Amino acid sequence: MEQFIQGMPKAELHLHIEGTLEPELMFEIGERNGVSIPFASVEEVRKAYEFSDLQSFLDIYYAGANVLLKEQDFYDMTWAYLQRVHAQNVRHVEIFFDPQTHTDRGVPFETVITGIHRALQDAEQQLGISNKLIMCFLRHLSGEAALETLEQALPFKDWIIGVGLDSSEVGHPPQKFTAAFDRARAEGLLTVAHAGEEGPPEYIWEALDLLHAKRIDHGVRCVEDEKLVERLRNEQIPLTVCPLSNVKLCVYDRMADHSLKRLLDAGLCATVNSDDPAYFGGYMNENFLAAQQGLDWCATPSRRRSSIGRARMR
Amino acid sequence: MRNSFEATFLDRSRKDALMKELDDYVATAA
Repeated sequence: MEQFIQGMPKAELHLHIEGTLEPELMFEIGERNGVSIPFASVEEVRKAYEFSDLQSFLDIYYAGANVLLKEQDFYDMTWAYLQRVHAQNVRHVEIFFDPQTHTDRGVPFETVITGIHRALQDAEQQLGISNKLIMCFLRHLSGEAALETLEQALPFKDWIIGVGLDSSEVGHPPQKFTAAFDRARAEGLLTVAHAGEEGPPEYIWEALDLLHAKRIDHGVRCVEDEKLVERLRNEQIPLTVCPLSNVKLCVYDRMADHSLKRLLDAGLCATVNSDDPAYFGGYMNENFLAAQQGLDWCATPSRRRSSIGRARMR
Repeated sequence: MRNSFEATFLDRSRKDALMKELDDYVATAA
């Protein structure tokens, strides 16, 4: 099974590039930029990766991102991710970046996006990985701040396929960002949104109806609302599910409890992704393998409705 | 996984090419 998953061509649709910053690279970049890290060693960083919920993860995530200051830093981080997933036969990526995490520290928007974009271009040419870039707004910040960030992004609109919404979900419903998403759509950008990870199914409805999201990132709590499941199935709105992340952040106690297979068996367009792989214990192959083992998911078509290889929309 | 390729923001021809690559892989592995 491991060999089958390893060689399977894959696409990754839910990946925060800042969440790929491995501790070794974090230390390397921190050292060359003269930025101290609140940990003594790589081992100490890894030991800190025991999270109780989304917020406990985000506190460490933002601390790690502080080392990123220069265009080359963003290039190196992105290139390291692309090399890793190339080795896992990932053929296409659609990745998120969080400009506000950096612009709020004084790093120019252009520095951030140019480093990421350059690595994506190199990966397309040298590794054959096609790509799209999605700019996320931090939902714990204001709707006005999202609009300001969008204005900064517009000169680089050709490098971005769409906008998304991430960070602390509970207490920050999608409706807070209606104006920013309206403006983004008016500029021709597509929209996606994190919803239904820790937040309630109502947030998924809002993401669909107010933000006109083309995909829902996570969305696993949709199973609590039958009408919502019916809509997601009828409209075949993709869910970008992240199995290891959901267990690591205690959305589910163990993989066996995860809703992924139920979503697929119900005919929803669920996909497998890694979210923040440096923090959650694995990239694409590790997510597929953990889901396969935890959910007793078959590899190739059988009498069961879903299989890893051919899991598909109806 | 076919869903992942279908759910991308790629154009139809690139989606189809990647899905064929996947189908060929699964058929060979089956």
